[in-house]
Amino acid sequence: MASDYGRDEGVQLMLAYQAGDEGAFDRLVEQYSGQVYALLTRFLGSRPGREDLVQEVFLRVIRARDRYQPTARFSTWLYRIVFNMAVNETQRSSNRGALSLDQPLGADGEGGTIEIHDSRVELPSASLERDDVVRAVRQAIAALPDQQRAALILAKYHDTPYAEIAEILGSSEKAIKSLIHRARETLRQTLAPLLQQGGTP
Amino acid sequence: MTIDPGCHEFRAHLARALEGLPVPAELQTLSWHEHLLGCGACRELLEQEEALEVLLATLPEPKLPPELKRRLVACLTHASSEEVAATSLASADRGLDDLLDAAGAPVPAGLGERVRRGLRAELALDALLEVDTGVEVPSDLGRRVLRGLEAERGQRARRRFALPTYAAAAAVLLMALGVSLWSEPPAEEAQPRAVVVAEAEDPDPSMLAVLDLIEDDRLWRDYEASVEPAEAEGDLHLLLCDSLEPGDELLLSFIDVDDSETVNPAGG
Repeated sequence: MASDYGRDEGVQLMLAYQAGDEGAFDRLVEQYSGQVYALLTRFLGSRPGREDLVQEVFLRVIRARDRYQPTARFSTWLYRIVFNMAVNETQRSSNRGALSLDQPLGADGEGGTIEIHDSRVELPSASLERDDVVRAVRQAIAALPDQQRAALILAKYHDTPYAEIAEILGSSEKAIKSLIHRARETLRQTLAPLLQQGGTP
Repeated sequence: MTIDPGCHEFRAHLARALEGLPVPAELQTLSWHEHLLGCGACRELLEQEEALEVLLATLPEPKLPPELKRRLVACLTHASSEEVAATSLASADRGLDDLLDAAGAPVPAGLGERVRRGLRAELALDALLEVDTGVEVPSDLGRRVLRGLEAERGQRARRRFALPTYAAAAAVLLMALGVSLWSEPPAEEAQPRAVVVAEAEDPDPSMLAVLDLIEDDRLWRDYEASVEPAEAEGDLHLLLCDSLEPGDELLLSFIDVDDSETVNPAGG
């Protein structure tokens, strides 16, 4: 098992950390915290407290230190933690009220809330600025069911192979293809006005 | 139109099951059946889906001719690597026409156009999704995360090293104890203790008498063990005579013997 993924740098660092090398954990955080942050942002939208969630992800890494076994690439293992946490977070948010993602985009191109009460995104009518398009796309993705959203984000924005997405989501490759197909179908419908207008400002 | 919550839940489960996703355990038991008992529409839907699954399972795996497949993959790869623009779409369209022509098989009317439309829609969606170029990660995120985890890491490190530390300390103590015991001078072993027996100048006569009796008894037991019982009884006197000195008449007078001839070793 270990030999299958022994060349993966993340696995090597995690095993070193498990063996007592604290510096290896520092390197893991430096190397993967950006990806975790990006994944959480795409999955949850630009809600406040994402850095705390990144911290929570790595806290789980610390807690899993003794029982860690390299049965997959490190990123696969890590993304599984991220996905589980993001789903929990989504459920907590939906218990608190409507998922709110349509705050105005900040200077970093993020931000915002959308009240998801319709499968169709309210698209900007007048000028299609880039930020508006980005916001509309993120809204449409945020409105997808959890599994479809995760599969699409991992495939499209993180270049994760289907086999790994299947491992992350605890599903089969066939199911992942189906999820992504459905997600794209939904997005094509939701973003139809933008697609008809050309979409790219 | 409102949908019954039971139907909604059932259909959500059904959709998950059809997608091959993990289905809640209760799905296998009552909730399905309870709802189906009272809902004809969902029962019918399930039957249709099951029939469709059976039908789909009987279909052979669709296979493209190898050459067509190669050219289609080449065409699609080329198209997706291009910027989505009219030129690339046109290029893809031409490629598709070429390969459909080359396939030589009868092509259903309108297939090319439908494929082109689908391809165009996919490419357009990809282009739209790619407008969202990336998430800007806050600078110094890693360091802040590490700082936030310092307390937990410290606590875990202490816990992690507590047991080995105690074990090491115990080992050191045991070793020290062993060394101290081992390094004591083995004086007694070097010079074995001599057994000192106080010698009496004149042995106590009563003690000597007892020792004699014990000795006689031992001789008797040894003899008894070495001969047959009947033989032993007959030879008793002979043995006694052998072990007595000629001057022990006094002792002989106390022994009840039947054969006086054998008793007198002096034989006179």
